[in-house]
Order: sequence, then structure tokens, then C-alpha cells
Amino acid sequence: MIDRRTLLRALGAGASVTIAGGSIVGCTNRPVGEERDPDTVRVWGVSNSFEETQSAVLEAFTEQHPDIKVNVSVAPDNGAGDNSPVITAVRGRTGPDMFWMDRFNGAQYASLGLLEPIDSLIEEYENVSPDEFMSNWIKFAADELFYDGQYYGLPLDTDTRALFYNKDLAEEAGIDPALLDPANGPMTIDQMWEINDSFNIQDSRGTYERLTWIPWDDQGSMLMWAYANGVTMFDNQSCNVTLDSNEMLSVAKMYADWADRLDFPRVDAFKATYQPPNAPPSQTSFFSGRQLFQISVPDSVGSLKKYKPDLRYGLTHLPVATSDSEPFNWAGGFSFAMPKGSSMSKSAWELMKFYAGYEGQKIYMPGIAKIPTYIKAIKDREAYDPAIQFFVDQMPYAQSRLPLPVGTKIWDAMFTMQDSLHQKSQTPEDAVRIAQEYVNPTMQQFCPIQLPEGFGEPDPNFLLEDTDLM
Amino acid sequence: MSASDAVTADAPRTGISSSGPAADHTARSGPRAQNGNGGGRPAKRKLTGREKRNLRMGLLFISPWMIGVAVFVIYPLIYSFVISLTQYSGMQSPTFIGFQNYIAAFVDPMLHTSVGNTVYYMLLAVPIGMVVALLLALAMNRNVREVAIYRTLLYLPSLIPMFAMSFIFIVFVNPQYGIVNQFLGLFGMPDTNLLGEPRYAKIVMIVMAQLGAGNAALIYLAGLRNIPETLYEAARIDGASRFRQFIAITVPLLTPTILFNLITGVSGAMMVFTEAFIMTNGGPDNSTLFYMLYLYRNAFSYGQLGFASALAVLLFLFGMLLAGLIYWLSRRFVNYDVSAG
Repeated sequence: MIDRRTLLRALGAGASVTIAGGSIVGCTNRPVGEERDPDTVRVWGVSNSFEETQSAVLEAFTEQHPDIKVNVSVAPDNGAGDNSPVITAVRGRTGPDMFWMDRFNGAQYASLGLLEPIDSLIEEYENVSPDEFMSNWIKFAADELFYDGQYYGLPLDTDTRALFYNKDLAEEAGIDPALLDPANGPMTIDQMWEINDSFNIQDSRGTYERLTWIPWDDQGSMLMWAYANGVTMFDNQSCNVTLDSNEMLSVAKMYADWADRLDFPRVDAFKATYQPPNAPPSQTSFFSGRQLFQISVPDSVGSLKKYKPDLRYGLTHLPVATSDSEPFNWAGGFSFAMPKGSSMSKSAWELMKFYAGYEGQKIYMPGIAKIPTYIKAIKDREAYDPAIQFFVDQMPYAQSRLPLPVGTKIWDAMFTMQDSLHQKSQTPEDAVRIAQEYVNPTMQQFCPIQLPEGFGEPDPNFLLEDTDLM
Repeated sequence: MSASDAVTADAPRTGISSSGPAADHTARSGPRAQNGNGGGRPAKRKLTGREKRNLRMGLLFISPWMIGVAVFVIYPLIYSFVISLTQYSGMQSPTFIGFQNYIAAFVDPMLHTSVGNTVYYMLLAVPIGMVVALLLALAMNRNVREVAIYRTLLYLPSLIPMFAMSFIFIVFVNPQYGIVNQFLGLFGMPDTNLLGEPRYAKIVMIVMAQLGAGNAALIYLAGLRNIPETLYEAARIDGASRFRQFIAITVPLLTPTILFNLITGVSGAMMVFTEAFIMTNGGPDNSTLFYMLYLYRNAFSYGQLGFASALAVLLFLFGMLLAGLIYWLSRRFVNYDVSAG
């Protein structure tokens, strides 16, 4: 048996070792905030193919501000909603002064306390109110960076969606070209199914060899179809998410029918064959001419140019419910934000303002096939790649995601719902109920909050005098 | 002749202690002999100068591990427990909320799904893994000249990190071109995305885990080499078949190794993460949403570090409980009777 003395000794030893361990972990002396050199800006910038374009922006900035040193590194991109790189760096006091951030994460990061509000910088250096300053950017993009009365970053790019079609396959399918002409408005979903029923080919084992469209492929998802059908996912008055509304339920039912109609496991095998998980960007079922339609973003124009320059393709509106429906679209995009521990220096602010402002966007956008968010840039046809004009023209219809602190959880809940409808493991009724139960209790931790007026809706002031609206 | 007969009969000849406590005594006497203090030590006695020096030196030598355990195990453990009683995003100051995270965990349906998935994985992967590893070890133990080559080849897959193996396996299970699917196609299975079907995705991961069996096999191999050859000789003289030798000598004498592999296997299975993170990200339909993946998601996707810490503490307690249970059960089947000197 252990006697009292031995026990106390052991506990004492354990405590000292723990304290010693804790001190080793806690004793780090890395400068953050104002302790940092104000004239050196640490940036976690864009990655991969965008880096070259970024260098051009930074070169132009350095020419104007030779005394500011810019230190760029690439932050590992862990996909939608995975905050581990930023959280660990900020906690370890090695975070950047500004970083490239999916705007979708803005409200969530802000609610976690991961970001610094930029209102004080706007007031100090721009001498205007934050609202007035932010009105230089498209409203929904600025809204996505607004949380609890303050702004948390500057918008960079945006992207709308289009229905890409393979012209060779469309001719083979005998589709009336007028139907695909965006000037005649969007096709209906029923028309898509008509084409589907005659065009798809399955081999003797039932495996698809070619497909018309996959409503959940690439940028298509149940989340998108919910937006397309006017589902509101948040009630500003009661501060509740409303994933179990009747509107959502009818979308879930419609979606379940689609998955059934295409025989989900067959489509899944088709995709896993021709575009397996983690396939290189050049390997898609659309690029290899096995899929007639694909819902995608402007980047795909860039990818097509790069990987499949000989593919004859066209762009048209996303399909809608009825022939008299307005076109529908939705948009996301990226931004620059300052995490906790940022120097918040004038130099950092100058760089962020330059990168996300007119000059920066004008250099940045054409190289990466994205749409600017700075209003002056979006009106300047030289500020983006002319090949994405169709996407720019979709801006008046573009809705956006709700800037909520539970954005990632809504995303996960919607994709869980989508999965369970694919697998028929839940009825649509149960699926919407489960989604609601998963998200709403977490939402309540952040209530009350008020979303900005007109959140998520297309920008009411978005009438571009000098672009061709459809 | 039974295994215990074999052991008792054989022991005196080979000079191996045949009873548990005696073996224990031999093992313990080693370090004391080094201390220059061969016999038992009185309960309370001042340490001599030399003993004190030895103690200091000893502690100094093990200090890297003690500090490592303190910094990377004990400190995080206590810290996790404290954080688990709070609502904490990792950035703002934590708010104390008592045991609410634990209550929330017990009613969270997604957590139930993840526990179900993990237990399913554990119940299949651990026993299968132990059998596969034992078979590998038996193969590695054959008395042929080129055995070194076989050992290397059989161990080689275990050197591939799970991270890389996951990417390789994605190619193996490509519905049309993957080697696994080609093989299943021979039996009339249609082209199926195995990772896209909730029924199969976990199975793929269980099969994949077997490629890492080499590590456990090496430990079995050490256990097998530890069984004195003389026991088999005696059994052969008594006319025991190979199967009988395996059942009556190999398995009983391998039980300490089996126990070790069982515990490390169970603890590894409880923490399965990488495969699901890379290959399916928890899908399809949450069928590979394992406990650790859900914990990770809560911590780093939702910023709910308090809740995630509560999950970590629960996992720790469950792990301890399971290990305790296995130890308790092991008293019935583990045989420490013999070891080759």
C-alpha cells in the first residue's frame, strides 16, 4: 500500500513536473501586435497558380512604398472551414500581419476572436466612416466581412456560377442552339432532364460512360439549389437558423428525387472513375468529354485555357425552376484580414488597402480569371479577363452566403443532408430536422446578432452602366 | 501432453524459471545487482552516497523522457481537462460552464454516430489486424535461407506513412481501373465507388490498416523467437502435430505479446483519423466520421475547443477503462511462464 507521505511526495513531484512542463510550453517570446517591426509586413498570401499574379501586385506595391518590407509565405489551404493553420499560428504567436481568407469564414473567425476589426484603421488613416469606406466594394462582399457592428477585412475577388457546356457533345445530342443561348434566358430544370433521358449512355454493367449533368457536381450542391429556390436559412428577428423550414423540405424532396433519378451510386462510380478524389486539376469528367454540362466558376475558364485549350465549350445561365423565372446565381470569394497578433501597423494597412483596392485588383484579377469586388475595378473592363465577361454579367443576380458565426456548421449540416439523401439513409423530413438540431443550439451561443440589411441578397445598386446585362 | 506439462517438463533442463513470481524475482534482481546491493533492502534506510549518486545519475538519464511526458502528456492532459469545463474558442478568454460540454456530448447525435463508427472499426480492425500480424510473423519466422528478404518485404508496407498510403489506396479502389475493383469485378461486382458507399468505406479502411501490420508482426516475431526451441523438440518427440504445437506451445507462450498488441491495437483504433481525413473526410453519409475526426472538426472547424477537449477527456477515460478491462481479463489468459534466456 502507498502511505500518505509517499502519496503526497508523488503528487508534489507530479505537480512540479507539470508546472515545469507548462512553463516550457508557455515561455515563448515572439513579438506580436505593436512589438512587431511596423515597417515589415508578414503576409500569408495566395497559393499555387495564383502566386505569380500576387508577385506582380506586390512588386507594384513595393515600387510605391520602397521603405516597406513585405514578407510573403503561403498558408496551407486546408479546405473550407478548417481553421487549424491560422488558429495554431496565432496561438503560437507566429501568425501573419494579414492573410488571405475565404470570406465565407469571416463572420465565424470574427466570432471566435481570431480577427482584429479594421474600423480603427479606417478611421485613423482614411478619415471617413467605416461604412463609407466599405461602400467602395460590392455590398454583399463587404457584408460577409461584417460581424457584430464592425468590419474584419477587405474583399478581394468574387465568382459567380455558370453552366458550362461541351459544344461537340451538345451538337451530338441535337440540342437546339437557341436553348443554350443565354440571350434567350435560362433553361428549365425539366429541359435538362429531357436532354438527360436521351443523352446518357450506360455500358452493359450499368456503368455510365457519359452523362448529361450532375446536380451535385463541382459547384452544384444542395446548398446551392436551396438558395436557387429562395430558401432563407436564418431568421433575423428570432436569431434562429431555419434549416427545417417548409421551403427547405420541398427542396430536399426535389433533390432526393434527382438523386434517385440519376441512380446516385452509378453517378458516384462514374465520378470516382473519371475524376477521383484528389485528382489533378486537369483531370475532370467534363474536360475529358464525358459530361455534357457542368456548373462551375470563372476559374474553370482559366483551367480550360491551361489544360484543355482545344475543348469547344460555351457558357449559359444556371437552370431554373420555370420558364418565366429570373436567372439565378450566387457568389463567394476571398479577402484579406488581420488576425490577432497582427502589427496593425500603417504599413500593413497600406498593403492590404493596395492589394484589395483598385490598383491591386486591376493587376490581380486578369491573371487568375476572377471577378473584382472593388466597384471601380468591376466597371473597368481592363481589370478582369475578358473571357469571364459572362460571369461578370451575372453579378446582378448573385446571392451570397449568410455571414453567420455558424457558417461552417451550416455548410457541414447541408452536406450531411445531401449525403443522406444520396444514400437514402434519411427521409427528407428527418434530414432537415437533423440539420436544424445540429446547428441551431450552437447558433444560440452567439445570439442576439443582427445581420446587415439586405444580407445575402443580390446587390440592389448593382446596375453597371457599362457592362452588357442579359 | 499439454502445454503446461511441456513447460514444466522442459524448464529444469533449460534452466528457465517455471513459476511467475520466481521469474519476476529474477527480473527485478537485475538492477539491484548493478547497484551493488544484491539482497533485499530494508524498508527504511538512509541511502549511501553512492546510491544517491546513482539515483541522481539515473534520474538524469531518464530526464528527457520525464520532461517529454510532462510537457507532451501530463500538461496537455490537465490543460484539456480544465478547458473542457469551459466554452473556449482558443482566442477569447474561456468562460467556465461546468460540465455542460459533457452533457452536450452525451446528447449529440453526431457524436453517437462517430462512436458507433469507431467501435465498428475497432471490433473489426483489431482482431483482423492481430491475426494478419501473427500470420506475417509466422511467415517471417520460417527457417529458410532467404528469410531476411521475406522479412524485409513483409515489413516494407508498414514503412509507408498512413498519409501516403491513403493516397495510394484511392488509386487501388478506383471503380473502373483500381486493382481492388478489378478483382471484385471477377466475382461479378459492378463498378462501385467503394469509398462512396457507406457500407464499404469503413471496410476499405479496415483492409488498408492491414498493410501496417508489419509493426505488430515484428513484435510477434520477437515473441516467437523467445519461445525455446526445446519445447517444440519435446513436443515432436511426443508426436504432437504442427497444429497441436501451435495451439499448445506457441499461442500460450505468445500471450504476453498478444496482450501488448491487443492494447496498442485498441488504442490505435480508437484514434483512427488520417485515412478518413484524407480519403473521405468523414463521408459518405458520415460513415467514416470517426471519433478523432469529429473531435478535430469541433476544435478546428467550429472553434469549439472546450467541447473538443471534453471529447478528448472522454476518449481518455474510455481508453483507460478499456485498458483496465483488458488487463483484468488478461489475468485469465496471459501466461508469463517462460522466456528464453
